[in-house]
Amino acid sequence: MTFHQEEQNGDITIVRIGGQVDSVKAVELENLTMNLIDGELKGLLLDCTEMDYINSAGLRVFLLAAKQMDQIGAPLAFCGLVPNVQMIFETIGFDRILTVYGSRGDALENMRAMNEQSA
Amino acid sequence: MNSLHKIVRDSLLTGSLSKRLVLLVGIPTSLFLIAMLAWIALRGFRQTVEQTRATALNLARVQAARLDRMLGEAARIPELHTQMLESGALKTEKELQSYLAKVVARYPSIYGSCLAFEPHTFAPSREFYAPYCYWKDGHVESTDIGTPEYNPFRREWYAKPKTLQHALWTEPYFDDGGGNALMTTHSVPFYKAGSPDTKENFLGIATIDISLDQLIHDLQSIRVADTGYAFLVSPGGRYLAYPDSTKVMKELMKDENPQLAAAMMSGKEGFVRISEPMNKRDAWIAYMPVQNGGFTLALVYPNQEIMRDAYRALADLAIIGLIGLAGLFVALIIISRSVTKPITKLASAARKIADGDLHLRLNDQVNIHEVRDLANAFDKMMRDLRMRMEELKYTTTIKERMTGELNAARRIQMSMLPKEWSDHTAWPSRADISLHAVIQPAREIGGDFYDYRFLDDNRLAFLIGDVAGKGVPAALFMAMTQTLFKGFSSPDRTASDIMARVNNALCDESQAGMFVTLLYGVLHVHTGALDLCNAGHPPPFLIGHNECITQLQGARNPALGLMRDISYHSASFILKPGEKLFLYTDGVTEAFNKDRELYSIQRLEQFLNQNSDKAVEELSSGILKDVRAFSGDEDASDDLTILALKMTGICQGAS
Repeated sequence: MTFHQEEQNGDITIVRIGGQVDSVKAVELENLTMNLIDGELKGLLLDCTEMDYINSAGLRVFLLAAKQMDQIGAPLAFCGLVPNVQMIFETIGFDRILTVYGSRGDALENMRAMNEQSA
Repeated sequence: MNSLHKIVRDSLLTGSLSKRLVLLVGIPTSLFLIAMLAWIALRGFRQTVEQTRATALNLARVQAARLDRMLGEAARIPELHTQMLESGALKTEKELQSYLAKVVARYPSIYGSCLAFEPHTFAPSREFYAPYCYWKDGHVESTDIGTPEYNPFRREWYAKPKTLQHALWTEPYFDDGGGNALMTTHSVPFYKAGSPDTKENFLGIATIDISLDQLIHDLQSIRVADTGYAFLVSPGGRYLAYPDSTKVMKELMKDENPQLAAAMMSGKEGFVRISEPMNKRDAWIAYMPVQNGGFTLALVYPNQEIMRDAYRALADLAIIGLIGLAGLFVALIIISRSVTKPITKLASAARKIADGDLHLRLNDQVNIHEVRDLANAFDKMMRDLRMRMEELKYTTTIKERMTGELNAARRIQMSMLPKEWSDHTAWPSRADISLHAVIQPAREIGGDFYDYRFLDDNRLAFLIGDVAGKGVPAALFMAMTQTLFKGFSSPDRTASDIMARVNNALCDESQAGMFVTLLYGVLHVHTGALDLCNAGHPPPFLIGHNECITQLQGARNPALGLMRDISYHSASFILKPGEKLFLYTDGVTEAFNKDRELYSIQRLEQFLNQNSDKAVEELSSGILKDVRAFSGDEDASDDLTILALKMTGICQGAS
């Protein structure tokens, strides 16, 4: 599993997650993500373009992240799901509770728009 | 070069510390000390010999000069005689006689004096004329030794100077006339007055006899070292003065000690190391010629004696050196002991520690700083080790307790699962359904679960669930979910209704972002009508006849615990007799092998295809075996559960 925080792109923090997220790596992902999320965060986009596998333990981390972001009132979105991951998202119903965009551009545009609205 | 290096490394730089100290410090120091002692001793000996040589030659010179002077004075008397004769002052035999007596009386050091004439010269009437005056019993006697019996012409003292035409000293001899005195005679030829000293003008011989007794007595009183002595050798090589009087005039020195004789007869002075003649001891002998008389004076210094002080000094030095060396070796051994003893102790302590004795005390006082540092480090290591051991013991205890508790939890968890289908003796009439489930948690306890129960006589409710994550939190969440289903399932409620209720209950409790994917189905065991509600779970497989494997997709719902107040939709199917339903959790399809490949749905489907005719027990355990074979030594990353059921037939009483 890889976890790259990119240069700040405006308000939105972008993290690229890659590789395989299994039950063991999920613990690492949880630590990295929870360390990243704090009150200063204005928005978080998890780019999963390079992530080719995730299991339910990894998804639990996403769910936790969503709940944390919800508490601080900043948007969380996902983009670039590969078909495999997209299918798992759909199977479990994550597509219904999490915000998923096709491309990074779409995601950033929409998230900024949402931020402006709330501001 | 390499071999030298090797020798140094192998023999000097290896082995015990004491051996190396002795080899590298002790022995070189000893050799140096011995060399120094030898050099000092040699120098001392040389100096002693030089000093002795100077002293001895000096003494010999003084004594020889004294002898020479004495003999020289005596030798002038015959010269006086010849002058008197040649001056013509003595005319008659009587005058001559009285002159001679007067001279002898005047010089007490001479024993006697003689004037021997050629036949018919001074006394023309006499063939033999040789007046002789000598001391006897304290007064001077006069006589004439010019008798045919004595015949002075044949005597050496007469014939030899006559022939040689110069004065000479005769070889000493024992006086055969009066007393047992050792004598020597100085003979001087005299010639006609006013004519050259030729054979034709030869008139006679003037002699003087000197007793050597006084001379010898004087010589013997010379003190030569403590046990040394002086001796005098005649021109012929006989002992004149000698401590052992029996040898005087008897033995020839060259018979006894040719080497010494050769040196001494050379007429030069010298100082040689040689075996001394009397006691044959190793000695230094200083010799000096005495011009008058042709004697050689020798002073004997026994080597033993002159070297005594040097030897004593050497012995003192050697003793001091030996004490110093002994001190050095003791110091070396003490040093090496003081180093090695604590190290040996440390080594034995290390062995004891290795054997598990961690309560050893190393509080010995060590004076060597480096070793003390080592001992301190050792002490610290032991303290730390003890601490680690305590910690380890503590954590092991905790771990054991945890393991025990986890095992207990596992037993509880397993007890929450339904009994084996075949064990349900209360369900004999359900023989038209066969069902088998296996569960394999990745750890002691897991988040997978399944359940089956009859809601009423005809309807069998079954479920398979997978809590996100694993371990204790998953197990607790599983227990909660399982309990909720037990509580909410009722013959009056539809599958989707129960799901919605359980979901809401879980959402109320789910703080840690837990959720569970779950399949809930209600099967009419007689008609085969199946109501299936899928909450985010992998769809089950329907294994129909003729190896027809299909996934029952149906309606999709979010996993339980994600959000409240969702309505769940179920889908309806018909299970025909002989058809099998295969439910599983993602532990099956998402098992990894060592190449990080997934077991995958495709492999599962293929396996089902190949084993579609197998009984449910064989099918489920077959899958389990196949997954294990696939993942090999890789740790199971997720819990794994399989539930397979088969409609064996439709009961005649079905409505």
